[in-house]
Amino acid sequence: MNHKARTLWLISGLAIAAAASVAHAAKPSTTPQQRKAAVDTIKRNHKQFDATQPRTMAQANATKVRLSSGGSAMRAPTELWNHLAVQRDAQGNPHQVETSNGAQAPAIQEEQAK
Amino acid sequence: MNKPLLALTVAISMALFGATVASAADVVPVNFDDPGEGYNDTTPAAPVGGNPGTTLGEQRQIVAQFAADLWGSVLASDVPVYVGAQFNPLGPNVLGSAGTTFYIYNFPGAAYPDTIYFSALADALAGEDLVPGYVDISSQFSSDFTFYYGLDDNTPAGQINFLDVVMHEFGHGLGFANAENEGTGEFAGGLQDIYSVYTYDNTAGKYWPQMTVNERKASGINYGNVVFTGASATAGAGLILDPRTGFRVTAPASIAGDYPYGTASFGPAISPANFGGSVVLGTDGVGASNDGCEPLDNGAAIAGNIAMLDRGTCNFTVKVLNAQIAGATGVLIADNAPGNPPPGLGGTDPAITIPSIRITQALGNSIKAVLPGVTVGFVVDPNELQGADDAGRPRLYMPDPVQGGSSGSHYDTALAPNALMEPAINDSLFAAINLDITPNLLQDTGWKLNDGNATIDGCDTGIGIVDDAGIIIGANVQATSNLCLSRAARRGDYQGCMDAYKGRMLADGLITDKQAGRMMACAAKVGKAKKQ
Repeated sequence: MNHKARTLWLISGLAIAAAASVAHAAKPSTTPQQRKAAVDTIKRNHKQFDATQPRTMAQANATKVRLSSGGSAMRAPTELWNHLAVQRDAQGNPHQVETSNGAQAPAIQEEQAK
Repeated sequence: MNKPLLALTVAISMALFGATVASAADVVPVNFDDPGEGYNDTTPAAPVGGNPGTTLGEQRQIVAQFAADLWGSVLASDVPVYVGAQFNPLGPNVLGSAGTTFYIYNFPGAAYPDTIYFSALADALAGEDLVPGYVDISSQFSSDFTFYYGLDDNTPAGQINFLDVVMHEFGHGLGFANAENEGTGEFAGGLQDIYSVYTYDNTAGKYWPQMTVNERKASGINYGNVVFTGASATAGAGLILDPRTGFRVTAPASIAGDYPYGTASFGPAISPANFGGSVVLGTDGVGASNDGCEPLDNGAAIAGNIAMLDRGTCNFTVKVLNAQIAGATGVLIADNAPGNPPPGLGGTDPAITIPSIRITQALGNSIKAVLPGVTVGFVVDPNELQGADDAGRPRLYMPDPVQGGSSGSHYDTALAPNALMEPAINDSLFAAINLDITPNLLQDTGWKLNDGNATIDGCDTGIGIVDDAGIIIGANVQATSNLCLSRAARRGDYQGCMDAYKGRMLADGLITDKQAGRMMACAAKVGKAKKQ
């Protein structure tokens, strides 16, 4: 893992740890004001959070932290996210299929002509 | 009353009187797009299919919020679910992606120890935001692609319904997915996940957490034999799935049984009435002599029987037409490459009048090894369910080879009728009204479903939010009421919006006159001062 990647995972871990330190005191955000405050915080954190979402399971495993609530958390790897692709058949009709992270849409299945 | 005041009044009254909806989950799309792009795209757009937005960005936001309100109505949680929402240029053929941002385990409220739960479900079970300050689900869709942004079931041919796509992807983020790599058999973090706890391989006789990594890798390509065993999903499957229909080898006994098949886009649909008999291998005496690319030279044997031909060299339509000219009553095309399930047969030719299907290379070889004396048929078994095992448990999609992103975390494409959480979203779906057995599966993993009636501003409409078969008319009522409210500057605007909605729902037969009356009585109370 290079220096930049290591830094990203460290930031990622710190982000979880920081969140964990306040999790225990957190209450359900049910009022419009609490909801707006939560959204504002999420937006402030977004860029750093998004940049540190791990891609592989190995990278995700390195983000494990304990939560103050007694549980534990790890970031989910994007390689296990669902990625939606579209294929078009000979008639131009779109067919949607799910693929793995970054993979090209597989050859069309339903409309192979030969 | 102006728009903000109307919305504020309703919000306050819901807080004061809305005890019956307190358990509905608050699913909150968080718009991360910059001004002028994605969800904020200012390109003018004509309102379409019940979506009143007048810019592209506005229409996208309305669909995302509508989907959030539908899921929020169906699921119960006291903790908001935050969903990151973005539109970006993603390149050709890529429509989008979604997934949970955190795996959480061993938290207070978890039913299973050392078991991964997706963030939104973990929060719901714990009763608090376990990792505040971050979205629970990340979603991203392609700004390169033209979706249909209507909220109705009138998607034009050649377009893709964005609401169905969002409902499907949010479903994954909420927990309709495992935390396992089917290509390697490994669990994320070395921990089982709650979805895999219910993933059972009928061949191995084991649940996924009971398997070694290699056993799980093998199970990940055991097409047709891996099921979801949750009680709610199984009960739901019994309510919605059609009787099992399938291709069957009836003799000899050594290979008799039901086998997967792919259907043809040409010729008549296969049925018990038009498909059955003895199998004869077609020969044409040229090149690969069983590919049927030239006129068949064993017509006397073929006539009145099912012709079997190999895939390859020429179009499927050429092969089937040659078999038809030779007198075949049906055609089996044996694949020329391994894999399971067999894909369909593409092409068009109006001259073709006999049914044809595609079978696996493995079955083709098995049939060839015992010819002659092979008989086949197409059967309907009213005692079993299409897309479920003999115990009625819905099958999960485990194709061979692994299809990354599709394997494991979907219902099998064999389910009939089609399900929202199959890997190929198609135009037979209408997720605004029907989530089939998706909520059932989420319930098995720990989500609570709102089994009460839809409410408008705390008033009971008498319309169920979600039933045991995944029909979510009540959720649609609540989502539509929210949409009407968000667009209404005056009470009259809201009433008019709901009245038009009532008309559409009655015309489609989705609600009764009595339900419509009660819904409108509730709608009439919106914005009025309530007695303390």
